[in-house]
Amino acid sequence: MRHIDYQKRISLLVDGVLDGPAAKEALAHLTECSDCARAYEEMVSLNKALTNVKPSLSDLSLANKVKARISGSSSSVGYTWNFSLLKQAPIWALIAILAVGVGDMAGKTLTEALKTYDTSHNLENLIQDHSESLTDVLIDFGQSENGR
Amino acid sequence: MGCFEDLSDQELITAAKGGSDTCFGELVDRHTTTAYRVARSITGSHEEAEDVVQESFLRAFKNLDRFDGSKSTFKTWLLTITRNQSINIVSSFRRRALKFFSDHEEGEPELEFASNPLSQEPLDAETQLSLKRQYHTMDKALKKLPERQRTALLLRSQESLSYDEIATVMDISVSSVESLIFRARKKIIELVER
Ligand SMILES: [Zn+2]
Repeated sequence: MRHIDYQKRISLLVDGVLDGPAAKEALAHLTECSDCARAYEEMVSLNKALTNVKPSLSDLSLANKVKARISGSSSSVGYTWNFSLLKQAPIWALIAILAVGVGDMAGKTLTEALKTYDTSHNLENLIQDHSESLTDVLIDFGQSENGR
Repeated sequence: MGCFEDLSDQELITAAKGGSDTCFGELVDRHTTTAYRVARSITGSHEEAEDVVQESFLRAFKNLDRFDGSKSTFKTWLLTITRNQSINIVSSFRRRALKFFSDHEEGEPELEFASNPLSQEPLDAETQLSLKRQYHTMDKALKKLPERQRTALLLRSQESLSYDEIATVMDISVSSVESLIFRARKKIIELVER
């Protein structure tokens, strides 16, 4: 068996889910292979570090928000997204960008409009996945804002 | 019917299905933090994680009748919903477009770390600070992992889910979980050592 295969087993050993002959074999290998012994120590340390830096919520406000929405939900009709990014980048900012910078692009596809802004590494994904016009997107934003 | 902290999740579900909001509220108290951490690790955003947690519980509440306790626990069911909601947000066109148009960087909320379970004592300021530094180092490395590796590793190392439970949450096989966790560990160790 290769060292990498032993290390896969060692990962299971660290989690306490390896037993029987496979565990015995892995443990025996640890005594004779310094590379795999080091990998074992590192995985154990990583586990400890991840447990140490497990953040906890500082107060009960999120649980209370959830409960408030649940008690309110029985009387509400329909289903709306509370999409916080919309609050941070208001529709007016987007309209202003359009009016000032890309005013002559109305009606073009989003791909065409964005091609001039070749600054983001996310752009490729954006272009590949969608071909809605910029107007469509803005109308969509507006509807989400009004629908809340 | 009154609700007690020593009731199991399944007992609370049964009561909640019978119309008890209070019993569902106890489930919210039990699982909000875990759901938050899962959503936070996928979205990378405190505000989005809060939204995801609210929506996930609301969905769970509205679909309680569909929950089958013989197939999964409430926790794994909730985390499945939470993960899917988080992925939907991250991959939504609207979010990517907004990120593209906006330079807005979300401020990191004040993080707190659980007190040492062995001592039961709250952590002093110096230890909190040291943990925050460790957190940021680890957070930076975790962000470089593909979502599947990161989620599998954190569900195991931080939330102590079994491999079977992780497989249920992520809708993959147990051997895929083993492989994701192993690759995540190798990658993080490599990144932190660098
Ligand atoms: Zn070896």
